[in-house]
Amino acid sequence: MASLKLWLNHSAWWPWLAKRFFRLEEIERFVATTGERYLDADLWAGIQGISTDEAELQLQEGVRAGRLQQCFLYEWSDSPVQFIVPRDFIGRKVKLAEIGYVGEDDTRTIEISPFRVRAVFITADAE
Amino acid sequence: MTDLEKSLYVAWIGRFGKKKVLELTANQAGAKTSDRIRALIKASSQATLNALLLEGFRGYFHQTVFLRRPKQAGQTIQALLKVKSNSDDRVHVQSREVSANGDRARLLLMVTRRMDFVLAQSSSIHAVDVPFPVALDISNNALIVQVMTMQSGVFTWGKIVGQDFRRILTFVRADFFNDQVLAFIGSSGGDSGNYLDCSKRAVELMKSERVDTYGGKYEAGADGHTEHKTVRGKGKKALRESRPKDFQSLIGAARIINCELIFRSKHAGLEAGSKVALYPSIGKIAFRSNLEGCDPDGFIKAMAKP
Repeated sequence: MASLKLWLNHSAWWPWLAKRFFRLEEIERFVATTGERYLDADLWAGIQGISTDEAELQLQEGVRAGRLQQCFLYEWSDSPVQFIVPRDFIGRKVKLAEIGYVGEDDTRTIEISPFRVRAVFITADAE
Repeated sequence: MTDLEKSLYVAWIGRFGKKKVLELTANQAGAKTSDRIRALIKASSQATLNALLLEGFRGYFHQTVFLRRPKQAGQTIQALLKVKSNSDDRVHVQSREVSANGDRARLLLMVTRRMDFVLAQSSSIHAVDVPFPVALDISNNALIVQVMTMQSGVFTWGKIVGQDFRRILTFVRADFFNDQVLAFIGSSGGDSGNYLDCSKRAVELMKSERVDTYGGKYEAGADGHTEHKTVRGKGKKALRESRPKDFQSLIGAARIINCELIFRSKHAGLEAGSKVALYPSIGKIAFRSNLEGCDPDGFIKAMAKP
């Protein structure tokens, strides 16, 4: 009886797991085919026709499954380009040249304030 | 009130514009404007001065505004109502206004910034802690930080501080004050949420024939951006006329990184001739002209609409 209960409990999870797994594949396929640099909850919600909260959940699930990485997009007006940094860069100062910017002001330093970034997701194998 | 604070209030109230200053100091007819303002400061209570500054942010001050979408507005309002601060803190609460049902609060904060100047005679560095007024508005819809623009020259700062300066070493940037206020909200137990993307509202604005767009940058997918600008100077033309295809691409974009606007006629609460630099994808609005006679508060709230 106990094993039947256990089996029933697990079986109830299977469709849910399959659905989630399919979504993760969909996310990866989207990134691979469109060449988008990152995904965020708003963009994913728009593509899927779901709420931003649900999109955020799906993307976080990708992080838990090891298929996506959560990073932060710096897009503040004091930087000539947008760039993606890992969490441990928040609060640090980076030279524009260090993030790959080539220009007259590439020796300029930008402080990655936690209030000037937003969470985005990249594929786990992205460099 | 210290001498520095008195001089700062003179500078701040002076930013209301001539018409409003004359109205506020009508009983001082005949005196110099700065003397009229000094008399007004002397005769006013701190509560009156606080209310005056908040009024300035609502309708007069040249300012930079930051829009955010709060996650727990009610909890943040409660946290900010309870927080204790004094004038020695780098950020302190000067006044609080709360709506009757408690779902909206407006605070006047003073954010202190250490400013370094080079003295004219000795060339040595003179450091001064200068308070800057910042208005904070929180409701379920938006968290709004308003920073007064104080891009004063070396002569004006010398007059405010009471010294003769050769150079200013610290530049006053609105982003710094926004960061300080958001950190203060966090340390008070509140949540400042995320910055708000008002690209949709910016596109609506650019589509209006009453607004001229002279430059704009927009996201091209999630891997880059495209920028269009017009040549400035005599006979300058807005993007709509000079580069119609580029203008169509700009107003067709989902995320606008920045756009430079000049109002051709009265629209959305702003008067003809008003200059605005919008950074819609990060919810930043920089007013580039005096706002006397405008309704910046109405404009800001319209930009923050979901």
